[in-house]
Amino acid sequence: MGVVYFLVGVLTATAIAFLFSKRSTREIQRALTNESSVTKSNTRDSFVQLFEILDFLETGVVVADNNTNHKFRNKAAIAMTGIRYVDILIDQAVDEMIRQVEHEGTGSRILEAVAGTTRFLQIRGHNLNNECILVTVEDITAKSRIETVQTDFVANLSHELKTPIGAVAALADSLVGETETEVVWRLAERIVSESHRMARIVDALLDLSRIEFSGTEDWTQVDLAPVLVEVVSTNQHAAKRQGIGLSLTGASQLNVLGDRSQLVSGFSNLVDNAIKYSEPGGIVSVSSSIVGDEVVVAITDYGIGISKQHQDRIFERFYRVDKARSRATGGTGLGLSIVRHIVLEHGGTIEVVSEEGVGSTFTIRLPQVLPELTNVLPSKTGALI
Amino acid sequence: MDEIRKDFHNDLDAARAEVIRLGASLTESIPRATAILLSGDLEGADYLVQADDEFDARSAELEALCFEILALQAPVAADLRQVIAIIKIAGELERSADLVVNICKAARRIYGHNIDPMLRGVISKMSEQAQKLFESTMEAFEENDAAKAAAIDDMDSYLDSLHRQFIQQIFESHSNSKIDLQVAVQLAVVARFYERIGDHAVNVSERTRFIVTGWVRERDGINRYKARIGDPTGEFTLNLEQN
Repeated sequence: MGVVYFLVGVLTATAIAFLFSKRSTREIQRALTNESSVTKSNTRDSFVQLFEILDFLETGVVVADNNTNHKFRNKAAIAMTGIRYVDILIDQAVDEMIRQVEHEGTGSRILEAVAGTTRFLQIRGHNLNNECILVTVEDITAKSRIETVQTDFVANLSHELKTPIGAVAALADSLVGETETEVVWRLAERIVSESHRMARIVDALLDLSRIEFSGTEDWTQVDLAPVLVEVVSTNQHAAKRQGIGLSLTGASQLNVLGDRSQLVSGFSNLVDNAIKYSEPGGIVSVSSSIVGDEVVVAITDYGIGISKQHQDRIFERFYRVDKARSRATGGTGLGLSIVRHIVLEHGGTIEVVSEEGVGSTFTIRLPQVLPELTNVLPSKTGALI
Repeated sequence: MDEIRKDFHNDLDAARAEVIRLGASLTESIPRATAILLSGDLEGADYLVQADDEFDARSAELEALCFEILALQAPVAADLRQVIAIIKIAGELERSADLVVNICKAARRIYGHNIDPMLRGVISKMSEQAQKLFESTMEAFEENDAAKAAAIDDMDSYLDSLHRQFIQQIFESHSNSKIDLQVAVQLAVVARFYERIGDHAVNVSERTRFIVTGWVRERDGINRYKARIGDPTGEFTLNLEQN
C-alpha cells in the first residue's frame, strides 16, 4: 500500500508541478481560495477536478503557494487522525516542513504522537518549480508496527532459545569433573529442567505452524459446553493450589465447527493464564452464551491486568509484558499467540478488555452451527427448516 | 475582517493559533509522560525533559507577542480581554508542561522499582482524565465556548477523587509491603502532579470564560471581602465585561 501511496504522491506532485508551471500565480491563488468570482474556465475546472482527486486519497496532501501563503489541504490533511490535538500537532509539523522546504528545497521527518497508542506519521516536503510547496502526510503506524513485530520476534526467539542452551552448556561444563554425587545430582536436575523448557518452546512453535497449515478436513461439529467443563476440571487442581476459585457458568448447547483438541488447548491456555495472573484468594470465571449466531466465551480474572500499551501486543509471539514474572511462571511466551491462531483458524475473533490492578476479560466469539438435525422436515415452500 | 486593522488581527490570530498549538503539545505530552513513568523509559524521560526548553521558549515568545499587541495596537473590549487572557493562559500552559517534566523526573527516581498493578491502574486513569481535561479546555478555547469551559471545573472533581483514591491505595499497598517507602512517597507526589495539571486546565477554562463573557472567578470572594470591611465603593465590577 505504501508504494501505491508513494506512486500516487509522485504522480499528483508531477501533475501539480505541470499545472502550476503553466498557470500564473494569480490563477493558483484563485483556485486555492475557490473564489466565487472566478469564471467557470477550463483552468478552474481542471483544478477542481485535481482537488477532488486529491480529496479521495488517504495520504494527506498540502499544497502551499510561495507568494500568497494560501494553502490547499485535501480532506485527509484536514482530519488526519480525527483526534483534535494530534491533528493540530500534524498541522504544526506541516507548517514547519513548509518552512524547511523554503530553505532547503526538500525534507522528510517522522512525527510521533501519543494518543492511546503511539501514532507514527511520515511527513515529506518538496519544492515544485519554486512556485509552490507540496507536503504529504502518511500514517505509517501500521507499517512501523509490523517492522517492530518482526525485529522483536527474531530478537526474542534467539533470546528464548539461547538462554536454555547457554544454561545447559554451562551446567554440563560444571558437571564434567564434578565428583560429589549430590552436586552432580543437582546439576543434572537443572539440565533436565532447562532441556524441558527448550522442548516446550520448540513444541509450542511447532504447534503454531501446525495450526497455521492444518486444513479443515478433520473438523467436526463440537459442542463447546463439555469442552469448557473439561478445561475447567483439568485446571481446577492448579487453581486450588493457588487458592483461586474457578467457576463455570453458561449455556448447554454451544455447537461450533472445528478441531476439538485445538479448542481444548486454546481455552485451557486462557484459563491457565487467568489463574497464573490472579492473586491468591481471587476468582476466575468462565462463562458462555449465544449472542445472535455466535458462541461467546468469556474468561474473566480479577488479577494484575494489562496496561493499554501492552494490550495490542500480547498476542504476538514471544511478547512479554513483564519479562521477569512470566519467565518465572514457566511460560513459553507463545500461549496467547497460539490461542489467537486457533480462534482465527476457526473463523472467530478474540478480544481483551483489561485494566491494571482490576483484571482482564478475554472474549472469544466463534460462529455457531446448528445442531445436527435428525428430523429434517421440508417446509411448505420446500426449503429446509 | 476589518481591513484597517489587518496587522492587529493577524497578530491576534497568530497568538490564538499558538495557544492552540501549545495546548496540543501539552495534551500529547500527558499520556506520553505516563507511558514513560509506567514503562521506566529513561530515554523518553530525557527527551521530554529537554523538550520543555522549547515549550518555555515558545510560551515566552507568545507572551512577548501579546505585550507587543498591547503596546502597539491598544486593543479594547473583547480584543483586550483576549490578549490579557492569552498572557495568563501562556503561564498556565508553561507551568503544566513543567509538571509533565516532573512526572518524567519521578520516573527516573523510581526506575527499577516495581509499581503495584492497582497503583498503575489508578495512575493510568488519572493521566487519561488530566488529558481529557486539557483536550476539552483547549476545545472550549478554540470554539470560544463558555458553557464547555464552565463544565471543566466539574470534570476536574473526578480527577480530584481519583487523587484521593490513589493516596488511599498507596497506604494499602505500602501496608501490604507491595511497595517500599521511597516509591510510595514518589508516587504520592506524582499523583499530586496530575491533580495540579487538572487545576491548571480549570484555570485555562476560566480564562476562556473571561474572554467570552468577562466573567471573573474571584468576583464573589472580592465582594464578600468588600462587604466585610464595609468598603464604600460598592460591588466589584470590571469595565471589560461589555462586549
